[in-house]
Amino acid sequence: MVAFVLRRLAIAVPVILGILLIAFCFVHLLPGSPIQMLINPNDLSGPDSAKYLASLRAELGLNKPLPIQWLDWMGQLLKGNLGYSYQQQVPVTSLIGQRIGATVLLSVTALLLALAIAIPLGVVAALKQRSGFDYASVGLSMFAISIPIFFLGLMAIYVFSLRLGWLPPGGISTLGVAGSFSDTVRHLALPACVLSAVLVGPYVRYVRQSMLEVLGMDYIRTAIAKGAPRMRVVFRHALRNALIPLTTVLAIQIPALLAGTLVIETVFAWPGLGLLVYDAISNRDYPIILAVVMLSAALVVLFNLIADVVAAVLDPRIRL
Amino acid sequence: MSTSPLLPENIAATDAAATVSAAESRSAWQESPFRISMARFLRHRLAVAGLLILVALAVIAIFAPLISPYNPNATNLFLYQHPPSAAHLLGTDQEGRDVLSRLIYGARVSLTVGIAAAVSAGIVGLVLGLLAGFLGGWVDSIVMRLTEMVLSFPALVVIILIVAIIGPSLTTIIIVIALTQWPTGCRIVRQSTRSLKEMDFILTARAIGCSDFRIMLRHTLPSVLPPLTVALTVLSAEAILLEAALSFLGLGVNVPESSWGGMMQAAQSLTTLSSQPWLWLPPGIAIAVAVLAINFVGDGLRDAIDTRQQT
Amino acid sequence: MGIPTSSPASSADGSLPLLSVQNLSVEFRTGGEPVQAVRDVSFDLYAGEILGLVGESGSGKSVSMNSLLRLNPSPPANITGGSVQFMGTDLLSLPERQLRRVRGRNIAMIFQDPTTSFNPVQTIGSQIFEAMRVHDRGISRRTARLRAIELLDLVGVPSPKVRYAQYPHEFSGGMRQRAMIAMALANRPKLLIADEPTTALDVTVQAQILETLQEIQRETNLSIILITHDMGIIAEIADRVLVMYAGKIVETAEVEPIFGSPLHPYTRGLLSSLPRLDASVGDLPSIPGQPPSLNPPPAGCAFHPRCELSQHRERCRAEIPGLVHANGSQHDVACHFFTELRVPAPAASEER
Repeated sequence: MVAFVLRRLAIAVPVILGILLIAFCFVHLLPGSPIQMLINPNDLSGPDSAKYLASLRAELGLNKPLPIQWLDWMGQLLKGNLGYSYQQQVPVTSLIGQRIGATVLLSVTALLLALAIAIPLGVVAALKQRSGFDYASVGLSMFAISIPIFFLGLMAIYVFSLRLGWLPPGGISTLGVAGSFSDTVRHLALPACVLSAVLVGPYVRYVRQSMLEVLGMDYIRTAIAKGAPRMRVVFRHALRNALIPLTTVLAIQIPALLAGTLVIETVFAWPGLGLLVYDAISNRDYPIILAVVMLSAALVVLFNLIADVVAAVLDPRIRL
Repeated sequence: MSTSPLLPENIAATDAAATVSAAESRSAWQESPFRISMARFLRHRLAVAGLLILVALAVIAIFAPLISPYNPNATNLFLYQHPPSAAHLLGTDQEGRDVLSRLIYGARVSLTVGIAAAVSAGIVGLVLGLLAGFLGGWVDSIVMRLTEMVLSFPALVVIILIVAIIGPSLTTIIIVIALTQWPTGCRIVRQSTRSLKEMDFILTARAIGCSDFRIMLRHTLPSVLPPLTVALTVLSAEAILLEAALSFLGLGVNVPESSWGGMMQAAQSLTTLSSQPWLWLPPGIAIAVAVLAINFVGDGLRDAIDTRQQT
Repeated sequence: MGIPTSSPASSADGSLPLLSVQNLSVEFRTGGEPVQAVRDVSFDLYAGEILGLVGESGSGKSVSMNSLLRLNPSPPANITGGSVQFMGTDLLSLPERQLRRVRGRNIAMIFQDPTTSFNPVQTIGSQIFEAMRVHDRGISRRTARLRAIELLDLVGVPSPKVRYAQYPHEFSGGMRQRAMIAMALANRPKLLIADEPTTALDVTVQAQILETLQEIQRETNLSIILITHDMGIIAEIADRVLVMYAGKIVETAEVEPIFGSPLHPYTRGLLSSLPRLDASVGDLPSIPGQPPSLNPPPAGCAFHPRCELSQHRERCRAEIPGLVHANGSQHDVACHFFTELRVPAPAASEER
């Protein structure tokens, strides 16, 4: 098992390096010099600024060959220097720190919601194959993967907020009630539901497909022949085995979740990383955009790793 | 008596046999895998419906100048945000342009980007997937790591980043979308190639002396095309949705005829959202219908070729 | 002349059969005309005997045995008639809940491919444990584990304690099948149905598995129904034999008469197509033609188009032959003209 994890880590390393390489290319291609991105602009004013700038230039080595620059830049990353926002003149890390909570809240809620809907739906659809329920589930998931998420968001706001007035149209809190649990829930409801729609579509299809495959397996017949009650067969044998590939699917869908979060945050004015990036785009604030992009890529690699390890824990055949 | 086919007395017999087998080959074509798949596809009602919708959309896009009631870019401030009426079936937007006409012309951009990006991504994916699957070894490792890297970046964000650097032109957007989508096609092709590689007919080709390149081209490629076609539908759907999101965020194509996504930009304001639904509902529905149709076709294709592979 | 069989015959010592199948019929509906996979099958099984069920693919042997425990997936498959009397109850009319108590406890079944028949993500031990658990909720893990290890030992799995905690992919094919047998025996069933248990295994392993089954049978007086297409296995371990063709039983007898004096043209054809080690043969004879399609099934005898004896006689074409008694009460055959057989079957050789 340990050997498996180590092997898996070893595979992740070149991918991370590749990501960092691509990011570094962006650093050089984006308008504004690489130095500008990394330096705290507050240090740039004052009498010694020119000398300071020169020494930084030397330290960060624009005159050094590119590979060395890359290493230096990665060194900066490890020290926690993700750059400084052009517009707000504060370290990007602090901006990210402020906003990440909201994004995590939104995406995790959406993910859990999606799973809570997709797994039962997919399982029942597979058990009642070719029934009305099955066709309805398949139809629903088809619809969910075809509709643009921002359109779904707009319609949700239109119906539930503007016409019915049940829920607020955006933001994370109402003025004056900041921090109240029920208020946050009310604000979270629509964006989380719409975002979960991004995931429900693919999840239902995968769960249903996986379940159908497993139900056709010989060991299901063996379990029935042993006299196991139907529920036991469905849960302990069919479902448990059908969910194993789902861990991989979950990991594969993470980039889609992140992209969807960006769109949803924009539509619902949800103050998370997505909205931060969107504003940064309008303001040409590249350090922020780059930092968030790197962060998401790193997260994706991390989740893929976790998913593979979890799958190996659940399925002993993978460990070989 | 010798049975060599070259002896005169045997040539007549060979001729007769050849005529019989020609007739047989003609009827064999009736049963060719392609025909069987086509028949299966046509039995899929939803898939056929999807195909018809796509054809209709293509016709609308191609004949836009003939169908569209007005010039989509003709502004007329006197017609500022009129609701649907007899003269303007879908109303007008903030600059007095007819929504229906913009919707019709919007099909051009959305569909062009979608298909062009998907085809580009498909070609790149095909080449890399074939090489990786067939040659294995370090070529495979490199391609796999490359796909993982590209897939780690959320497509939308990367596209935004690149478009921010280079600027949003139609070609740029198509290329960038293709850059983020090729791994999907590549994976499918690679998977297919790897399983085909072990099949006996490939080994036979090798045994009779075919070069690797020839095997890839003549023997592997045709068998890889069906799953790739299915992948193309997924890619097109994804490309259309990406382009729409991009345009909605204001980062997409800037040509005068905006795409469907671009038409929905106005809805970012709550007032527009609330009081002018004719501005954003039609394009949203159009996108959903187009993507749904593509997905139905994709499903139909998947079923059509799947069963064939089981025989 | 033949005496039509209508009531369950008794075994040699006059006891009643353990299992009595009467007029079992099963059809498959996959759109279009339903396939009559099993047509009016009747037979008895006595305690302690090994009954071999022989037939080619498509003869209905697996479907009929799966029907005893209603294991055929029910949308396509449909039991259209008959009864299965086991220990005084008709299994076909038992509600599902009670049938479950029969499955794996009174009647156990093992299948052809042990690789796919075990759940790949659970240990062999836990699956044997489950076999006991579902019939005895109160059983302690410790007791069950000990018994499972005992069973694994009984079937010849080396180092059973270690193997208990291993996964199916860590077993070899033969050992997996042994583990299957162990699992089937966990609740001391009266009847074991073995559906082609050795087909997926190497020949040498085959012999070992058969030996194991025989040993167990001797020790526990277990009844076994052994489904196979291999006459060699029948010769090896069966006490009685049923021959199936196109969904019907065409001949039944004790194992020696089946080989010594087969009465049904199909059985004779089967036996004569077996290659022999003690005689050289020019061309290996095979039965010409193909089994008939069963949707709908042929009106008369299903075998008559391929039958040398029939010569396309009207009676063969029009009337389905019923099973009638032939030489003595233990040999039944379903053929209108079996009495015309004079030439001894090629398999009636000096070896017997």
